[in-house]
Amino acid sequence: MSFHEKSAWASLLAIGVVFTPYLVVVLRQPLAFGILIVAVIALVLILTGFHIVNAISSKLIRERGVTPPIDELDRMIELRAAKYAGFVLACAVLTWCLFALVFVSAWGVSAGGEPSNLAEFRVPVTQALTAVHWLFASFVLANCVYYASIVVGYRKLAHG
Amino acid sequence: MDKLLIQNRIRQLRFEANEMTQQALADHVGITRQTVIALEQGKYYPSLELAFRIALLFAKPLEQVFQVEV
Repeated sequence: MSFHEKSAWASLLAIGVVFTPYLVVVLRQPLAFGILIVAVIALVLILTGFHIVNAISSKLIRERGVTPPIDELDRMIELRAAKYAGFVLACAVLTWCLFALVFVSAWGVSAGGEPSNLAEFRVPVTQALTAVHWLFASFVLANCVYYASIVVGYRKLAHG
Repeated sequence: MDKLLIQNRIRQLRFEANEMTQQALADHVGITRQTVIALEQGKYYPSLELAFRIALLFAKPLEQVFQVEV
């Protein structure tokens, strides 16, 4: 397994391990978004730890002191992954927009707004934050798709 | 349009060049060993620039390194 594939595996697992519990918490308790700082620090620590372990365990990196270069094959795999991730992100954001258009009025009514006057609607902060958390979840999902696509690209090369 | 099937003699040329390792070839042309493996197995077709780099390394014309199967 190449350094870049290991790196993609690590990023995929780290994002999953860190942001799955984060999103579970903030979607249940929208005001607890402060744990994003903890999540980001955890992500940085996990990825730093991985790179140190990978550098120590890789003979090539140990001998040369640098990571292998990104060549045209790596770039092709990354571009393809970025295309899939971009598509997923675009679909998620469009879906979010459609849901927001529908639910903003519903939430406004539940908050005491007048159904006949949309301009006076008020959206509760928890509902607004929930919407923001869902948008962030789509960004996390797109990142997972990106790294998963890179892993699949390398696995296809290895196993036909 | 049907995809062209391109074969190469990189593996053979490596052995003819004092049994050059995949890593040595990768270092000479600026790619990773994994890409050399993919090239030799025909799972990846190189860019024109990389193809010329490989041909130049073995001091062979491009068509002696890469051939189109018809």
